[in-house]
Amino acid sequence: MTPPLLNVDQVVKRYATVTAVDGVSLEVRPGERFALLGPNGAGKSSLIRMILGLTRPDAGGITLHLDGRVAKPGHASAARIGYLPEERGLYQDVPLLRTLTYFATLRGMTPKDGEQAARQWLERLGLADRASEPVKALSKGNQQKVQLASALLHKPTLAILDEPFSGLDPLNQEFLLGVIRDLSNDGTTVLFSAHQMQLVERLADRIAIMQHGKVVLAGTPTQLADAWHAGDLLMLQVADGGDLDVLQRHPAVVGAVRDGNEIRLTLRRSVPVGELLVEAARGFTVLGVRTERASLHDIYVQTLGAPTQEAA
Amino acid sequence: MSYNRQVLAVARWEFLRFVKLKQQLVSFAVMTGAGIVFGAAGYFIAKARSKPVTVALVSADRLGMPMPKVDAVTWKPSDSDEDALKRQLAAKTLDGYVVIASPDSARIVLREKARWPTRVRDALSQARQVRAVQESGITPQQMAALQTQMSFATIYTKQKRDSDGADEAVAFGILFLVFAGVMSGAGYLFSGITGEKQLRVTDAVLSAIPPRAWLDGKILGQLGVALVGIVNTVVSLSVLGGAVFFVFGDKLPSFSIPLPAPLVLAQVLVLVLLGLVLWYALLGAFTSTIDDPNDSMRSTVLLLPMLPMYLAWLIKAKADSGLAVALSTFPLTSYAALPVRLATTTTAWWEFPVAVVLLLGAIWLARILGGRLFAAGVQMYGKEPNWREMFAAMRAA
Repeated sequence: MTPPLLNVDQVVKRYATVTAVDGVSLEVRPGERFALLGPNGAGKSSLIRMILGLTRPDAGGITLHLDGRVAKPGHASAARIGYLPEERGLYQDVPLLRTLTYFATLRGMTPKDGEQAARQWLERLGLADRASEPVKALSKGNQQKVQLASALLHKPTLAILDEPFSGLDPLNQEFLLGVIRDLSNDGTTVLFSAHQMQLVERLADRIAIMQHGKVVLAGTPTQLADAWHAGDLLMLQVADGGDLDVLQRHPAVVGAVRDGNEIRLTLRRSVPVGELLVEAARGFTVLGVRTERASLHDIYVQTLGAPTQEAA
Repeated sequence: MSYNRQVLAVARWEFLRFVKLKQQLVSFAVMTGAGIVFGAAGYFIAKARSKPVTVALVSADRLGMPMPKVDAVTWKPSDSDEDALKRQLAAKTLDGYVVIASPDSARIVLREKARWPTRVRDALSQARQVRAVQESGITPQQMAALQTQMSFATIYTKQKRDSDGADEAVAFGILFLVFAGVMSGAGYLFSGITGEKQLRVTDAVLSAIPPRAWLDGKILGQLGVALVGIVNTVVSLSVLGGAVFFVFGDKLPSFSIPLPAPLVLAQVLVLVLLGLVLWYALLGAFTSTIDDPNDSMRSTVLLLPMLPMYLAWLIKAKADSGLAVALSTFPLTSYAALPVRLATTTTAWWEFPVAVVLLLGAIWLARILGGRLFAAGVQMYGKEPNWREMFAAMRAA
């Protein structure tokens, strides 16, 4: 059996009085697109920094299997890893081509090969004619794409992308989605964090949701959906009036949101809904009923226990 | 990728970031242009100063001797009264007139301040002295004997190189060039590292190479930048100096700057390069702890490398004292103190090798401790580590 490309085993990281990562274990398999989800401060970036060797775990271990070799996080494995940091940053006054070539050489490419790869990436990004312009001349979105290229142009075995979609407009998000898919098709394993659930849903093979430094839910998108069972959203079309609190307090409901004449109920797993429908008919004039499978967004919100609220 | 290749990649990057061929050429062109402009201006000013003038001479017979020749002054004997002469002055047909009142006094009248009256005064005074000597009956030989000062020979029993003040110039030159190297490197390290922290470039770089490779590459790159700066300074000063000599060569007092012997030059170069590496390692590590360069008190640490240069200049007068020898051996000061002493006095044979060994040891230690501090400091945002945290980072394995 092929060993996991990345094995994180009971890793703990503390900063002063805060435990940023609290006993996290996970495996990322070769060729997989693995998403790390969680609110800000959940410990995703801390975990990523430990995987890269930028910081060391206080407890637990991290092992990488890169190109047939077992390695610990750090600079021995750096040439096979590509990293897009959450905190974007490039040398603003340096031309694009030189910037990309530099990062390629830092990752072990010769200057000649690095420059060739940089030119190919600039072509792909539609920036070939701006190769000699300084980074600061680019728009924020284009700077972000150049930063992505700087992380990937050495064709890493493992690409670690910390919030790659943040700050990108929908078109650039689609572009990035394509880039990550191409990477994956070329055999690169991708570990990424994101807040854009619909994009994660389209991209990730497996997902881990973190909160307070722990993995609270993990699996394939189907497994996550199964954790909430199919048909777990009940949409009611109702007439004006009625008291949402009645439905919110019902044992079959874990969340309820009203948006005008539509009530969106997130159902508790394995609880019959017949009684709930009767209750709804008592409190509201129900005009229509339909069910939906829970989206990753719903799973995420319910897993992390967001408070139920009535939409304005 | 080997450590050395990573260091070289960073060094190349740092060097090219701060040394741009275009800027170097522009800088050289500006200095050459300044030299040419300065030279041309000097030439025209000198030419204007020696412009020939015509001066009327009234009552020359009262002098009792022929009127002496004065450089660029044409005498025009005149019988006109002073009102007529003043009208000629106003009409600019005359540059001035001299009225001889007696063999011992004269009056010079001119429109405005000029340089030729000084030459006239000097020439007349000298002629008067000659005449006085002739009248007193003293022979030229007797006069020469009167003016000859006593001859002294000063002999120092302690072995020391001959010095005619040129040593001071050499010492000053060395310190000036070291100063240029240290300050340019310190400034670039400071702006580079704090800039990288502010631009958040650090994570991307540190995920690829170890912090110490980054710091070593920066040191090597800045060393290259400093050498280019020093060469630039020497070339620029040479261009300016060349322009000055071209214009004033025959009017300048004769002097020469003796170059130190090749061995001394080589020793100076070794010491200066090692000193720069040591200071760059310390400054690079310390700069990494600065969060915001605009309001950090730690920026003043950049001035620290000036202290050894100041001390080196102070000990120059007592270059053989115990303090001078101590400063020439202590790694943080030897790179400035010993070069000055090598150029100005005779040092003991062991001083250079001991200074080099101690510098190498200090560099080794600075790279280890500085690398650890750099690793911690460069990843710290939003706050500056306190001294306790800095020492803890340096102790960390």
